[in-house]
Amino acid sequence: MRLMQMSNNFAREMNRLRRELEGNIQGQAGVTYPALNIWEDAECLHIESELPGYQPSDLEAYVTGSDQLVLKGERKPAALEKAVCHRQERTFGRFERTLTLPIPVNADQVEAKYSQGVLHLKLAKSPEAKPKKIAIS
Amino acid sequence: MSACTLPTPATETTPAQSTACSTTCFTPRVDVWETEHEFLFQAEMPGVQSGDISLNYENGHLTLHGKVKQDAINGRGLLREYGVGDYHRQFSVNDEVDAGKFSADFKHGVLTVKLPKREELKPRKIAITV
Repeated sequence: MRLMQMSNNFAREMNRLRRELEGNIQGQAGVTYPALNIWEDAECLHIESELPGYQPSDLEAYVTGSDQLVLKGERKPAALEKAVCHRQERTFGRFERTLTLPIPVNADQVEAKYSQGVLHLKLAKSPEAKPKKIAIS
Repeated sequence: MSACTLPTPATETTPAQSTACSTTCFTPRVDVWETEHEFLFQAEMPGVQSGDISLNYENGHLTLHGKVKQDAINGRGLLREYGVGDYHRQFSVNDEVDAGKFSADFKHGVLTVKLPKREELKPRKIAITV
């Protein structure tokens, strides 16, 4: 019984280490990149993502139909001549993330702003998605 | 790009959590490079305004701190994959650097700190006469 428990603990610890290692290799702790925060107000859907170190021209966002969003980007490493790396925690390269929006939007009314390394998308909800007040007689 | 194989001149000295943060505290991802003339730190601090960064060098310790102004979200949250909070990290830097000549800039959420090496420690080319 003790032995079983020990071997379970060991397996769990090994799994944790493996996940951590994989996370380090991918640069993300096993999470889809980039991480997103999404919220809504009465008129719009807001999507925010932390994407530090990109050139605004290297970020792309597409809306297909009324509920498919694609985010793409590429981050290039700093070109340093004759430099020795002592610590590298940041990751570089391309990403692409596709998601189904929780609320249909109007693809013609989308604002995107990239400020201090944070991308903010403001998508107007499609008219069908907005609540309609029902007159009560 | 060079591989990270050399022993680091800058070692981390603080745990992830610090009392310096008023809200949730995050450890920014940092790259450290060394060129012939300087050490270069690049720290990711998305969401921080450049005026809300504090850089401190004292007794061989370089402290990076970024304060995030959190906007109240007016609305209903639908997906929350990351948290927002201040950034804090400290490194101990060896005495090869010239503390009076530090420079820093902040662009697209990345803080770059340059620590020039002391003049007397830079490689000097010796002219060889024949």
